[in-house]
Amino acid sequence: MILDQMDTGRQLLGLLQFSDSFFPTGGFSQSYGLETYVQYGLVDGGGSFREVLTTFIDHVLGREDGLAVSLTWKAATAEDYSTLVQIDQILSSTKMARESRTASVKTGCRMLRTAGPLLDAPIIWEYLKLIETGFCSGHHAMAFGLVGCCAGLTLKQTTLGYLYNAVAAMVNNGVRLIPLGQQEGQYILWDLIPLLNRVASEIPWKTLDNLGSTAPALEIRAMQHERLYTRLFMS
Amino acid sequence: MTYPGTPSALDLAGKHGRLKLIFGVSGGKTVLRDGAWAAPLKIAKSFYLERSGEAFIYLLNPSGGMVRGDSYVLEVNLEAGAEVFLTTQAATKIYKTPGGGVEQRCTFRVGEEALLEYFPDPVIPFAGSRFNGETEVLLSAGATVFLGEILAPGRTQRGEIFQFDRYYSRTRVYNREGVSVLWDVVDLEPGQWNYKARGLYENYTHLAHLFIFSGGIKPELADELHEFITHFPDVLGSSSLTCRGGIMARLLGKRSSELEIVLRGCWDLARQRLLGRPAPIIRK
Repeated sequence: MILDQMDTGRQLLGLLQFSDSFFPTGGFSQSYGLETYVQYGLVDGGGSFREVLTTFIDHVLGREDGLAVSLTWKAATAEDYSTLVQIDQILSSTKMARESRTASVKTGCRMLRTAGPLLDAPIIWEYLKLIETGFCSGHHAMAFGLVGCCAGLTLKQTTLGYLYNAVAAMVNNGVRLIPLGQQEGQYILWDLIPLLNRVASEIPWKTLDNLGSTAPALEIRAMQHERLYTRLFMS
Repeated sequence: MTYPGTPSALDLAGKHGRLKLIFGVSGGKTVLRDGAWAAPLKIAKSFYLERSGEAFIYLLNPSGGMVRGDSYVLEVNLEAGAEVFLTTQAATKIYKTPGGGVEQRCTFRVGEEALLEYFPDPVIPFAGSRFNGETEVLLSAGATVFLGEILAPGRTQRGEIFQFDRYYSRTRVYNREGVSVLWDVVDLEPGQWNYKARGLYENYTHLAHLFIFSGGIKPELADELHEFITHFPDVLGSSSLTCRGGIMARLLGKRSSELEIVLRGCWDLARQRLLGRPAPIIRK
């Protein structure tokens, strides 16, 4: 990869660009079940919102999507295509709530389409081909892991960048849904940094065998979302 | 499978229950073609509740529960066209397992156009217990599978709730091409988290799921199951389409008995849509 030689300044700027909500993924229209909580009055302020976010980070991101980012980064570094296909198919099978699965794939494919021409890396084109032919779905976590690897970011940078991107999007959605002030949104995000850091430090040691999370109520709310009468979000 | 912190149950003294069953079709009925078992596991004689010829089987465990070092291996093969309903005679109790744990491996190979319905009684992990379970289902073309399970948080009658050390149970289903179609992990370490937290168990104590695979699943079935579940005010649950044309329902409740009713109702509804016949009454 030609980007191997990048200095840390370029790495940092790349990390900022790919983790920024300005990078188009459509993440602003996905709530992953949060909208159900708000509509049912179960999340109505900063306290209850923080509780859902903690479950989301510790369980869903730490044991599923965040781990998938790390596994993808490692497989991409080793140019191990069969493992990439395996991660993709397993991720599709763990995401049993239809809208959450669709959200992951929509944002993932969007990210790949924008990042592909920027990085022009064979592994990204190959993954897009696997998606076109139906072998893979194209999850956001995997897109992020591939982009991180191809942009010369370290495993730690990629994992933290993904976690930040996913949580910032969720906090932003909560700010709009509940609603909360922009300032409170930033306080919440700041307070979550130690948790993000802990989750990110555990992820590199885990393998594909560790993939899978148990957050039943959050999963049920994500499924209930399919039947909400009025919806601002797609999931 | 890595299961940190627990020595393999096989290393310790314990009962190594084995059960291997092969079902095939003979004279319009599903019959046990071949079987082998090692204590304490065995099965009761097949009985027939329907004109379909489906074999109804009780798994028996006279030892009453699993203790430290126990490992059970269950292997069930259904030949093409075979139809089997499998349940347990009683709840699976997991006793306190100091310094060890128990293991259970279940493998189901479901042949072409075969039907497997697996509805074991609730699992009850006692205080201080460790359970490590793996269930694998391999689907052939045209196979139909219903998997329904309930997990209690302990012996709730005596106020024992979430006092087990760890409960880990993974269910994986693969289609005929070997592609993963379901990967479900229930991994609970009550010492680590507050189960009342939003997103986890919230105000509930019992967890259940129903996984369905069949060629003819219509998306509306998930909506029907969701709608049915909403009629039970003490149950939080919903249903959705899984990645390659399956359906799942996840339920949280406050009592096993109520989840059994909801699970049965979902099974009955899906059975009518997919097989054109209602769920029979299963006597225990």
